[in-house]
Amino acid sequence: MGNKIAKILVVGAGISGIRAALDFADIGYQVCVVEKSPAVGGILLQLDRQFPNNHCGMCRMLPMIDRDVCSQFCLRRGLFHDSISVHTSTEVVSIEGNPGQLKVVLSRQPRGVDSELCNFCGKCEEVCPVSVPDTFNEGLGERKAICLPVPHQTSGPYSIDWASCTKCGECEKACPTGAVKLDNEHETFDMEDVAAVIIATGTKLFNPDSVDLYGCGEFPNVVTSTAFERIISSSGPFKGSLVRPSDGREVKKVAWLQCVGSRNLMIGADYCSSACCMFAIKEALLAREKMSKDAETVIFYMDMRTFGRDFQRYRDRAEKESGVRFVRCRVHSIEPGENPDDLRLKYVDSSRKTVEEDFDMIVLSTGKEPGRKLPDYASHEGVFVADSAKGLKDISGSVIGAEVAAGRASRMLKNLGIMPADKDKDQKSAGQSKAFEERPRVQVVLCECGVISDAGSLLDGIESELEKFPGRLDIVRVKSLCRKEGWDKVKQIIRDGSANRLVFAACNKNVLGPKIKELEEDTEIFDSIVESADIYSGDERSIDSLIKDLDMAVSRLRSRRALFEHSQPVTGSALVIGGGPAGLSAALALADHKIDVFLVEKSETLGGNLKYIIDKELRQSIEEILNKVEGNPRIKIHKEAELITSSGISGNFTSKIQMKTGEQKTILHGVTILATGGTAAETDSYSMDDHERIVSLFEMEKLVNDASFSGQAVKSIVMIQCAGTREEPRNYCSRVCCIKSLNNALKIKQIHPDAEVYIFYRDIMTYGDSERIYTEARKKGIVFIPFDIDTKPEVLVESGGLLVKGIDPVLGVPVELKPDWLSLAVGVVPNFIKDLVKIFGIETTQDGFIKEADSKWRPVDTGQEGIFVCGLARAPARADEAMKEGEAAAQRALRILSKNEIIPQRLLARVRHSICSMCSLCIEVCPFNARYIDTAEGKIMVDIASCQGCGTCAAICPNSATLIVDFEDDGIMNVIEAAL
Amino acid sequence: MATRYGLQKWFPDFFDRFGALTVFDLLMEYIKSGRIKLDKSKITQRVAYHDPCNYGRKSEELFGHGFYEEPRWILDQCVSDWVDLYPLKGNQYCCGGGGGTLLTPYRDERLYYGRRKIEQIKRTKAEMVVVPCHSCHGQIKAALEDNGMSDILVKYLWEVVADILIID
Amino acid sequence: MTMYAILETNNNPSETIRSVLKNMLSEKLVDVVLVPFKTEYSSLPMPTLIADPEKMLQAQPLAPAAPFNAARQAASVLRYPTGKKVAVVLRTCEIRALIELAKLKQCVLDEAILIGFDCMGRIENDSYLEMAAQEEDITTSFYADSSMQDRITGICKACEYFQPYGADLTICLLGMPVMEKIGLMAGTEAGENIIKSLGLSTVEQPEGREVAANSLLQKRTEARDKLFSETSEKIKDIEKFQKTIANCLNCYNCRNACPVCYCKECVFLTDVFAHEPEVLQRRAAKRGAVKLPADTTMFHMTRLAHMSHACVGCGQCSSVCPSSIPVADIFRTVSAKVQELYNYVPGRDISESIPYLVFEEESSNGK
Repeated sequence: MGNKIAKILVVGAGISGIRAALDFADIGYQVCVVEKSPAVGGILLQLDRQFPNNHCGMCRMLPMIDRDVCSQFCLRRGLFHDSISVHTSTEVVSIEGNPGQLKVVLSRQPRGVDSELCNFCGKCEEVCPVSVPDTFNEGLGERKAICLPVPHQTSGPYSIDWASCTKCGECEKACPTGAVKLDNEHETFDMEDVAAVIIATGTKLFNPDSVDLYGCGEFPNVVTSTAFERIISSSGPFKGSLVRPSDGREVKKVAWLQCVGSRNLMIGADYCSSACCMFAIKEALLAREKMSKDAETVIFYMDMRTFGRDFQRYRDRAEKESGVRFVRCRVHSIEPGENPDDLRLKYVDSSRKTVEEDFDMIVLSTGKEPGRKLPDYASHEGVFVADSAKGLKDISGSVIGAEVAAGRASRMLKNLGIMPADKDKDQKSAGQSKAFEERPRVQVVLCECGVISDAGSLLDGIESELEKFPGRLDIVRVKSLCRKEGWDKVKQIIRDGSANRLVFAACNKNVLGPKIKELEEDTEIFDSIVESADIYSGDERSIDSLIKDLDMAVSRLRSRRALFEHSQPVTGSALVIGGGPAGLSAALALADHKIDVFLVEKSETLGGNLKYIIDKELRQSIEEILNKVEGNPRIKIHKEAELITSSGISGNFTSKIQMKTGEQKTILHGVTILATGGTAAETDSYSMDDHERIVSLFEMEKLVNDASFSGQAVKSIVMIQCAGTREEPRNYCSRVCCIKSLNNALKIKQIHPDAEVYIFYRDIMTYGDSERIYTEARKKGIVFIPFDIDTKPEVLVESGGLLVKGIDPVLGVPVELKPDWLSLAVGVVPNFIKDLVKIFGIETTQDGFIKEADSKWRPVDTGQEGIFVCGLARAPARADEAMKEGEAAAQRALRILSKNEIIPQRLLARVRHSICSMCSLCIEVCPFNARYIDTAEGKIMVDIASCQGCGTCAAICPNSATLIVDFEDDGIMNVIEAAL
Repeated sequence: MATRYGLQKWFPDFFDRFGALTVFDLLMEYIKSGRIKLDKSKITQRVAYHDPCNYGRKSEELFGHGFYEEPRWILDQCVSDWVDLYPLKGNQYCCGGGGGTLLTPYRDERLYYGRRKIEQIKRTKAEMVVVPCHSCHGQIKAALEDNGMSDILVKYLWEVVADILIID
Repeated sequence: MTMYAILETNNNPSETIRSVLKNMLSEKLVDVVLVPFKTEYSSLPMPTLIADPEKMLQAQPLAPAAPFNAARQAASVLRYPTGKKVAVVLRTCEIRALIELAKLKQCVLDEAILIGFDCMGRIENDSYLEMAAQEEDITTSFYADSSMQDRITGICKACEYFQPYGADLTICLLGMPVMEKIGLMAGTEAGENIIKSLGLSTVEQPEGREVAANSLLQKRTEARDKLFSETSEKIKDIEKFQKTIANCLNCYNCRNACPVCYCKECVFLTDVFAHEPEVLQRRAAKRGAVKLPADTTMFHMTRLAHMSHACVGCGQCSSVCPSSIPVADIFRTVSAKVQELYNYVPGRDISESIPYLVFEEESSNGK
């Protein structure tokens, strides 16, 4: 490919787009992200906290190893990465060409405000005469035609909403820097030589205004789930008070109606949106936090789809500990209540009584909009679509889907020989060390602001105080740093002078920040030796207060020292433990990236649960991967082998495996991927062991797909879901059983159309597109009988036959069935891995699954950097989902494996061995397991791949034997003193 | 409705030869072309509109078109204060008088079946109910009487148009 | 059932213990013993490592003196396992400090036999030397004459931790007629093995021990509470605190004497506190005048922050202060509050985690 730097285009800057972009940046590619709206962040911008731990955590997507190239603050404020350029208000028009050399035509609509000139003063917004409903707050509240599109995203400039703008020109006049330009001509431009495109456009949430049932848009107190999230957000229209839109009254009783716009055949929505059940529970819990103890929260649902690993317990806690009421009933419509602002629901509860209840507010849990199609160019070769663009996915599903898309794209690039650019870090660090070796020579640059009227006299006052500072300071004034002439003057001053520290006294950091980045490219200045103080923004301040800021900036600079020098070598190979679908997928993904893989499998064959999979398509896809793995020269397979020890740090592990013969092998590898899988659970519930015709659903699957089944006499078959599961101690949904049982039932009906099939269920977990299987089952006449944990059916073996006794809750009558077969959905359990847990020091959940670092944002990482997990070992999943997780884990591993060595970042812990007492408190307290004792050297060392510079070790070390670079004790004390 | 669409669907050659219009199409054509003139100020009461099952969701299901917007447009030309009964359009509650129940002796049962309709009307504080369907008209009138709400007028849509015609 | 042996003392309790220790050495139950010892040159009982059983003659295990807190010395002998068994005879506060040092990986106690005794307090070094000039056997007098016990330090008088925690063997003096007999109690399996190997006959623990312990506890607790309230007055705000430590010379004697101040090099000696001239000048400029050394209050505050969870109240810091600042009083008072907050008793149990290593999502005190 020559010297051209490979560029990837990511379409969509929601979490999937950001994740994919960061994945490419982490392995060295340049990325361009385009986003249709004026802000970065997607749907999540409006949602403050997410299930199942009710926190945010979006920032956990940010790079953990290469931190210096990326902003490390809240991702909702924007994404700033040296290798990622973001273009908002831009759309893709067409994609042509061959993969690796695609030509993309884009269309951009100007925002009306020049981002280089905008200083965020907000005067334009003040004078704008147009007020429209605030779309960010779902219409609850107003905003001007010119505004910050997302109130807390202060990095993007102000933006004009052309649809409501009257082009009156007031804002143009009011802008002090001339940043406003009323020109909304679409601009079309080309991007050539795009190596690959990732489509991460996500979905749109359904607008229930079109479903006249619920009066959304007519009744002010009927709101969508997004609007509810805005109401309880502290940056929302009511500043976080839970009051209702019509009269601002405190909400005491609120109901959620599930499946609005989904599972609705009338509007052609034969799918489940997968995430709404969980976010309704989350919203109910967040609401309860704000409401009084006697407040009521009710969720009306058909099936509570808590199919994720920790979701069932989350729901149980909501019900039992927090008092959220769950009513299984799909309410027909909403009518006005006694008080016209109240809302009345009429429903039938579980005791078959008709109930009428008035609520203060009703939240419609809207899923994805039906009928959205991907554009034609999405199927162009070289274009990869992230899962979340195909259907509404929760956060972990979106993140994994993005990583899979990025992984497939980067595999294609590797095949085409398109490599990431080489970064020249050595040159830079040499220059940096020099700056720290000498005594600090501080240059203060005072910006004489062209906008503020008495800037000159202000600076006079500041200069005279600065002269009193001990130590030498070179002070210079420059007019209007934000303009080109001002900035050129600064560059000249730096080049001509001998300063090795730079302090700017100017305005908003958002304006200065990008300019300082420019400085790094044109001069020897780098970010660690630059500080800035804002002396102009906000209300007027005394000279004393401004001087304090400058004093603090100078103190901070003075105390900065040389960089941490040692880099960590990386062994460019991976150890994959487990040869099932997930492990095979991970191994192949890595091998396709030209990484050597050691695949260790305990049993004598590869494939894991493949031997139990009946579905032809699924079998085929796994077998394809299996064949590729076996034929791949980069993958060394060790069957009948087990891991006995593993030690080391990220990028540098040493492990030992033992074969059946007793022979031991040492493996050096850079990362570990755990794919130890799971298996069918066993249960003794429902008399399972008492009769040969009571089988697990897996056995049932085998049976109905066997040729002999059609010859059998089958009058009726009963299936009982959630057998021995979704209750303590095994209180999680196994995710695969409902779909499998329904497929079994459909197969039975296909072979024996007259057979009666009954399914006893608690909640049918046909999430996503699998909902249509449920619809079909009902159409085919399969009878569904719901039960809950207190009214389980009873199974008796009488005179050699089966008797199933249950209750039909709709009729309220007992049901007795004498089926020919009884299928129990027993669920899955993870394989036993206590020895591996000990070897790696990883955590497991109470059910034995390997715990991820973060179930939403880092779903395939473990708490230990360099060790990843995927598939059934982590959580119940279908084989195709497990294979995707394998690819995602491989993609995460590439962050480490794509480097020859891990370069130390600026913010790291360092150890001064000469005064270290080896008390090891720092090792115990480190949340990232980033410290260890090097037994050969007898020293405490820092793993720079894992260390995040959090400072816990430095806080606990009594004599500062360990410090955080740039936050050393003496420096901080000086800054504090400067502030006092 | 059944005539027009039914004719088109089931007896297409008849339809092609003779054509058929629903009363909505007719009224709209007359009003739009100016063939009839209306005095919107004549009706001062609040009017509630009821979507009949046959014109609404039944028509939608059988023929692919429900007459929701047409009567509303017409009402807009006739009355200044008219309100919807919620839930509206395709999800409107049935009045209980369709399917031939008016011909059966089960008067009490069908009136009980239509009790929701009375609640809807009560809530709007309407003084007149407009229904384009014969069965609905009969049912709702009887139900209002039974519930002591006989002051509330029940009119056909074309009745309303006729009432406010400007005849010179 | 705690294993308890009675030992006859014949008016010389020290000798009884000496012979037990001598037997432990000669029977090879331990390889070396660390015990207070009267050297040729000084009457102060210095912790001494004895390998030759014959030398045990000069050992003074029960001496009512502690020239310094011997935990540090014990830790240096027990820094890492050597394959040799080491018996250490220490006061209660010294054992507690040793256990805290083990938590900080400064020593390993796997091969140690910890021998403690019911501590009746210690006499300050200068007073002890004065008495030694007049008397040959201070120890025996101390246990025979209870009025001598009034001469112990103020901090000892307020100490409620006189019974050893975690000792393998405890020399029991409470509730015993010390001049006639004392007890030897096993606290662990290792201790029991030693009692068995020494062939000592065992009995039930005498009731008098608990009674005597409770009565002494009451006395000590009263004294402690009085100490706390008086000291709290002296340090109740920053002005009063600075007044109390006003004469501090930054000599760091208190830090050196403290057994749980374990840093290889104290942060106050590192570059962290070696202020640049510009910094000192700026401080002077800002406040008008600044006393040097600049970090006196900071030093004490820092030490409190770092080790108040582990303060065992041995009082050595006050003993060594050249300006007679009541350092021990201050540290005990503040430490008691800190330890109460975390329900932590230093040295109580080696498996008990240091409070700031324990992370609880819901904090127990609701903060």
